[in-house]
Amino acid sequence: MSDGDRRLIERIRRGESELYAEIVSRYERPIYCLALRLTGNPEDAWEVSQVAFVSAYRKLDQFDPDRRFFSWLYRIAYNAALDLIAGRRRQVELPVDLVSRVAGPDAEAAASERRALLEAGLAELSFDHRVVIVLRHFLDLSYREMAEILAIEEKTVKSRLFTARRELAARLRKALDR
Amino acid sequence: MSADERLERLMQQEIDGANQAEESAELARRLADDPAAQAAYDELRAAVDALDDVDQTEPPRPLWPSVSRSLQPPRRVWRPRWRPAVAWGFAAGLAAGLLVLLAVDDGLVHPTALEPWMQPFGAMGLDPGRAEVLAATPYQAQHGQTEVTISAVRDGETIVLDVMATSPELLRVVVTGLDGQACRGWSVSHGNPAASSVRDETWALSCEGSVRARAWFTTVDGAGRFHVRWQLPGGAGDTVEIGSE
Repeated sequence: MSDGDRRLIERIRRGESELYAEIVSRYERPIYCLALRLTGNPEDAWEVSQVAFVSAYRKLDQFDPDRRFFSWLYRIAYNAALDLIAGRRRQVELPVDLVSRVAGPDAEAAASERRALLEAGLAELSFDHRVVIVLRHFLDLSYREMAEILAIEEKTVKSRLFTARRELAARLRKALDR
Repeated sequence: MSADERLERLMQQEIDGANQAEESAELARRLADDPAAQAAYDELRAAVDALDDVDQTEPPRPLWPSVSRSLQPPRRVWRPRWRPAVAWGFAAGLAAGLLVLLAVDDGLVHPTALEPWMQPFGAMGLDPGRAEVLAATPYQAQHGQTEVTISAVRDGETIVLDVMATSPELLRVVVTGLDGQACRGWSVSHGNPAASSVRDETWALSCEGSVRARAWFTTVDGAGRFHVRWQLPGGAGDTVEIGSE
């Protein structure tokens, strides 16, 4: 855990609850990003992010300061996303607003189209494969951190990530060939 | 591990920047000898590079206002060793005993300790048998359509202040220590549509409409005396001194 996080958490635990705003501000972007990629739509992502932050606050007393705070927080968000998806018992659909951004001048349009294809390919991956891609490439986590969050072995993380990348690359190729 | 599996691992590790120098050299050799493997590697590399180019998506609006409304302050100070029912039973017995004593000597304890308005404090982690009432009865004030009710109890050095207000205008409530002395260890909860901040060891609450807010804090000298000032935009308001004698 960074010293900044550690000091903040200690003060919040001592009763300065308003400082939790700083934690939310520091992590809302990656948490929302994770939630959006896992749930597939902005409203669900918003709900998951909110639940994750509230839940983390209520469990702060259980947090071990020797652990990394963001790993702990990401795990809570990951579980919140799983709960939401399980609760709704539906397939995560491809978010329309993530794939319809093809517009503008040629170069920008090409980049935008490629990004849209990537998002589409990502959304088609299985949940387990999508989550490792998001943790690794969007949140820049190490294998060890990913293993901690997903509560699986590091070698399993590696193997899932290798398969996920391979599948994503294949989907991209197919989409570009069309 | 088969040759294909090793090649796959070398590719993935190369992408992660995890290959040793000799592993990178081995991968380069194998790719140079195998155009299909080179194509597969290029495809994988392109996908990963594209992923790394994607920006994190911003939430559509800040999360804090919504999160803060769902938060309750952490439980503080008193951790009962007895089960709550036993503690409350003990407190009720103690209170009944004190009432009997009051009939004999009215100066032993303040009778408002048993009044209904105090009951919400019981759910705040305070020791019902030990909490001391700081305001003899809740302070109540009215100005036009604005109504303010303030009550406070003390458990050890911790003070719990309860503010209930209804105001069509922007009402500001400020809590400070006596004689410019600071209050510390603030923990506050408040409902929408209130805004609250702790700066320079002073709690300021602004609200419009109906609000109930609570603050947990200690006075710097532990004596439990402090000021609560409420004010409306036109200047109407009052300052109340609350605390132990």
